[in-house]
Amino acid sequence: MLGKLIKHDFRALSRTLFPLQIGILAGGLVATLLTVLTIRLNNASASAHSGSNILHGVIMVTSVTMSVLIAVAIAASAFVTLLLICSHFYKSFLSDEGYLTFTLPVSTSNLLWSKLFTGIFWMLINAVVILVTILIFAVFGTSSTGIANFSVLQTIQSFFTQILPEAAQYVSLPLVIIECVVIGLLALASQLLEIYFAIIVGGQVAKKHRILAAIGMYLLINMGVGIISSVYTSLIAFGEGAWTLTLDATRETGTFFLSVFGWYGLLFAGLCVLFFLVSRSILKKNLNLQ
Amino acid sequence: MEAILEARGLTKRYGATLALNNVDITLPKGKIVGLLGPNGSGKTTLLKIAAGLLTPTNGVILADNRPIGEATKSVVSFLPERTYLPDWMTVTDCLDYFTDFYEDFDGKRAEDMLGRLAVPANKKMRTLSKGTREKMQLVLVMSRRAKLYLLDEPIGGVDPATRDYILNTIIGNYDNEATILISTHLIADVEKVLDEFLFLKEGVITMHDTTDNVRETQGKSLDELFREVFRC
Repeated sequence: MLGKLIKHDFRALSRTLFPLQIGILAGGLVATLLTVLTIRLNNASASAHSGSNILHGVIMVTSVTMSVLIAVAIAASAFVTLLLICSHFYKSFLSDEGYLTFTLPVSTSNLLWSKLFTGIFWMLINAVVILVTILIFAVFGTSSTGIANFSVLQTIQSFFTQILPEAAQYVSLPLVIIECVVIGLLALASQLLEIYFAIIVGGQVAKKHRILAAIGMYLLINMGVGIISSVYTSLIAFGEGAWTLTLDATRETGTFFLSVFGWYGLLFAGLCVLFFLVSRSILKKNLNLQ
Repeated sequence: MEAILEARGLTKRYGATLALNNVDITLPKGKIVGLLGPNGSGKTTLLKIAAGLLTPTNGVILADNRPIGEATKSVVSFLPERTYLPDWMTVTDCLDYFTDFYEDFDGKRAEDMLGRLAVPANKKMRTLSKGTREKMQLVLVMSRRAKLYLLDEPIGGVDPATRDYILNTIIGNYDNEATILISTHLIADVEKVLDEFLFLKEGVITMHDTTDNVRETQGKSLDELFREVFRC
């Protein structure tokens, strides 16, 4: 049944999120073209005589403004993606659609897992799309002469050929990569589950204005999580011997950070378990769809 | 006779309001039962608890001898009084959805009924009229081979022609082994199809009998009895 839930949640989310990602890429391409145009016009006006300077100026201002707006829109897309994922969760669980969701012969755990998996999937897709858009902009939108700015590609290449091998002398790269991926996923999952939990609790405490209640709950829960994280971080940092580190002890510092990240992974995992179990318990034992 | 729905001491409280007060019911298999009462008497609350959408404050409720949960939802088909299908879904999407989740869903039967309603398969829910959406939901719910159907006000707020269509759909798809619990305050319209009835007043079951018994012993129609019992 989990597979079927994921299929239908994916279908519901793709309806809005797929066009959004296409829009981000398209916006990125437009921003790239406008920036190239601006750079070329700038070069042209620098070498030309006064006649067409006003026109060039207008085009440049327009291009720069549009590029900035598109860049802001792309940056905001991560928030919009998250908002659409949360809106789907709210509708499925707390609106009239809840009548459909909660009369399905599936377990409450599977309902939550499905929302979590599809939410994480689309957040990752969004991150990849933003990354690709930025890369396209950096390579093709910053060249003043040719089609592509090869220095950007060289910088990326040097990261793999120089920086990573150098870092490998101090830390185990596969371990770092695995740790980053696992902790990243756990951080994302705990953030989504925290929002889902806030929506569920908001729906329990308020009969009307449930969205406002969910936002209020989220702020409250987030404050609590922030306090726990700060205390936890301090304890871990001192527990791992932060005060004994010296700036030139690169190997020791690398191991320290790896270990601290590991502890953070444990914190995110704990938060995931907590939010998941409490959410499941509320939905299972105290469901009251109005 | 084996029970399909059984409640003991079922109570539901919303703050200070008592929606259901210590309700005891036993519904047998293979009957069409009317859940009758005025507005606010607790009909919807009882159906929603049986469907697993509300948690009772006290008491026990069993469907097909099991506590309400994942297992009972596979044998209970619930038609709420509101439209719950997502507005972006097409008719085909809805059929896919029910086919995927309900093993007892008869897709062919649903397609035939929708064909008679002349609802195009690619139409989105948001483009259908409220009445057609309600019919669509009824078709989906009645196309399941469920053991227990819970129908909340299926004929409320529709014109007499649609009312006939709905009642015919219910009767036409009724399996003799299944039980239908149908809530309404339009007694005259449903009376002819009911085997039994429950009168619910202010959260309390005040009468549970067969419609034949009322006619034979009291010489009244159910509608007349209802008007007498619930006179304001």
